[in-house]
Amino acid sequence: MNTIDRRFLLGLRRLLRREPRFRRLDFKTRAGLWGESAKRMLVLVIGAGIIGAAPAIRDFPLPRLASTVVLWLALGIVAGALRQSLERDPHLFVLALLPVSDREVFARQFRKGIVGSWKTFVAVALGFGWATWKSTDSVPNALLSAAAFACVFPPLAVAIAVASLRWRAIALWLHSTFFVAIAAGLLGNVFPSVRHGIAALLQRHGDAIAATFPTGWLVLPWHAWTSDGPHLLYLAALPLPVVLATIPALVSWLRESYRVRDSVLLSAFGEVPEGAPPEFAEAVANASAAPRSRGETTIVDDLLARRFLADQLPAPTAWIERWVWRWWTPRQRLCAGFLSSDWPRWSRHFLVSLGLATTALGIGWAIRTTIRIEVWSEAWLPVWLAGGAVSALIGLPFQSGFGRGFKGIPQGNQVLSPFLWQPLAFGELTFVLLKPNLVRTLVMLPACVGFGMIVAWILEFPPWTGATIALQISLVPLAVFPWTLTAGFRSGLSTYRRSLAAWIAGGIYVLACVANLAGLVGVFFPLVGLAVLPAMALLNLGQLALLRRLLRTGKLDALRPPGGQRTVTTL
Amino acid sequence: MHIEVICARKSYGRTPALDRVSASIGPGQVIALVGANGAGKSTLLRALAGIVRPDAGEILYDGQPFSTEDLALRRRLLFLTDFPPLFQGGTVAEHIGMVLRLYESDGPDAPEKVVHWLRELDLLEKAENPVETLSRGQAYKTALIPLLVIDPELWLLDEPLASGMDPSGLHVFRAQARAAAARGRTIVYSTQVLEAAERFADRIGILHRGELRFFEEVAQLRKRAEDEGDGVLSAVLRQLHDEDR
Repeated sequence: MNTIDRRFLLGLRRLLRREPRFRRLDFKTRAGLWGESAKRMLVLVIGAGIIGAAPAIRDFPLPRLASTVVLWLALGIVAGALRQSLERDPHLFVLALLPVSDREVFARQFRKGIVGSWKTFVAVALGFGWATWKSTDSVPNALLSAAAFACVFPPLAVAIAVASLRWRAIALWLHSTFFVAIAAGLLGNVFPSVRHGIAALLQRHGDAIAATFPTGWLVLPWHAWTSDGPHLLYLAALPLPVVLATIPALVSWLRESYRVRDSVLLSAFGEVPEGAPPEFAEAVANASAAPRSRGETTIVDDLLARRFLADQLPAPTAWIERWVWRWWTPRQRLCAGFLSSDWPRWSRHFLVSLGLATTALGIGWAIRTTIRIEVWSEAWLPVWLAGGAVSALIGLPFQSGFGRGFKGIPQGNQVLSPFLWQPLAFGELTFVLLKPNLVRTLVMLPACVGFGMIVAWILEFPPWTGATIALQISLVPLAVFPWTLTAGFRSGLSTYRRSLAAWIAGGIYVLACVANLAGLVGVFFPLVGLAVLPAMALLNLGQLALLRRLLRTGKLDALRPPGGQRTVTTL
Repeated sequence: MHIEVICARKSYGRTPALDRVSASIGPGQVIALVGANGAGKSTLLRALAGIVRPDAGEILYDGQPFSTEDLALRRRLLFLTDFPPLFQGGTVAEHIGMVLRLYESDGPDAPEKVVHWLRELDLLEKAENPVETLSRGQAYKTALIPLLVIDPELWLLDEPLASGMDPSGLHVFRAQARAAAARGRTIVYSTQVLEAAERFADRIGILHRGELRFFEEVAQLRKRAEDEGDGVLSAVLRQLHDEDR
């Protein structure tokens, strides 16, 4: 919590204590999950912007796409921060009960959302300033570019974020471009070994793809300026003043439609704070009204038919999910029901991944055969990058990358909750989560190896090179899995316990983090990965076993409230 | 179940939560834990449930220490916190069903029992409602039903009398806890409602700054406080408070 927030809460507490009816208020607030994801997104922006796009801007075949993706991610952060502030901020629970008008709340929360995005604005300005410097070798140009993005991007981001709050369809569109962004970014990596002829071709098509992003057209004039490109691209900046001019109207529109109590109800899940005004309670009751009951007799019949004792997770129909289901024991199926009420769409994700990889390969092959390309046959790096990119293209959306594949099956801290409150063993939960990972890796492996070999063939390298790198990368999630479980469990443990064993386990954990990081780098070197991966897996399994032992013998405390539950703040 | 708490100590950083707590709890007893906020009541309940482990000392269940991997032992006790966690995404009936299955209490008579308790606690109509739509009292009742059906040897409840349950729910809870104690079950609960604790407990444990200062029957406490009235616990707690000053 920053100083402003703390000061605000303290002031609010004083205010509430003066008001007798609010003295014993008991508020429930939701943990700031969005705040966490925003931090990760920020890392992505800085990483993608500075490391990915900027230094390689001259030789990278798709600079516009890369820059577009960076801006898109930044836009996602701003929109997320604004949504968090206006709809999910814990302060809204308090504000909804105070005699404050919706306009005042909107003004405060809107300002908070925008001010909270300053790091993103700075990152974007610095990233593009850096990219300009690398492209033009000119410090004044870099400063000019940074200043321009510092001035233009914030209002643009605010305009789009506000529009996405007002019209949900825009938010969905932003969401749907996510996969395209990943695919486009990875597509760029598939061809790092080709030279300028093909780069020009890709850039020509890259414009069309870039223009489909909400930030793409902003990148086009910048790129034309830095690379002395066609002046026609400057025309892409024309909509900018129009967008900027619409901001006051957009904000005003959002303000007029903003209802703080509705926002609170969205996250209140039907809870009525004790002592809340009657109209609040009524509104909550209406909002959370349960579906009309089917009648006592029907309910009793269903209960007596033991339907409520059946597995929470329905038997799946999709093939990968079915494999996992068959492999789980009945007890593990029950445990899985505790962790998730619905199936993640693994089979569908796999097909999407295959489609993306096939498209990427098809484009690569077409370019390779129709245009004479000079391949950097003397360097190993391109083929490793290419193999890695294709593996990632298949693996990331499917396996877990970017949080898509794992959606629906919790990891780490979320499994601590049933472990704590129900008679479930640590080992049981571990196996419930490990089995889907094994199945998915087995499913993914042949496809990754095959694609890796094709990429190597396209780039005129021995096929086994592509196969090896694909194999190595495909196995990474499996080797890292015990570490992710350990990390998740550790994040949910009590920090009070300071036994010698806990200190030793903490030290080993830090070492394991460093070793895993080194291992991930090692995977990208020829043959090293095949040695590194088993070592990583063993180390991670070892520390998972240690954690289990410490919990069993009571050397560590699992004290945190259940994952996903709201924390309780008493004023 | 016979529970032996032997010189248990627990601290959170430099703050002691339990300080050399020793107690012997036999089967068939109803124990009320009272004390000021932060006295260590919830920590003692959590320690009894195995969720926190004493820094020193130990807790034995029929002479056996607690282990997270000992599911047979874990199935012999059930802990209801003041805000019991329910499985988000499921309905009232599904939550009950899952807990019953984990406790292996989903025998042939389980559905009838569930229907009975849903009816008794006025939740039958809500059985198919998502748990997110329940009020606090209804959520507590939803968590209470598996406890009543499973009927474990050790009932642990944190502030059940301030759980938001309506009077009929509280009545059902008290009646069933009494009946369970008569069957040899052990009930340990914490409360701030002193009058209720005096009437609804065989023994009362008074915690003060992590120490279990008294662990006696109500009659003995009355004798000690030389107070025959119902306000004996208030008197003892006031006395402890004055000692601090």
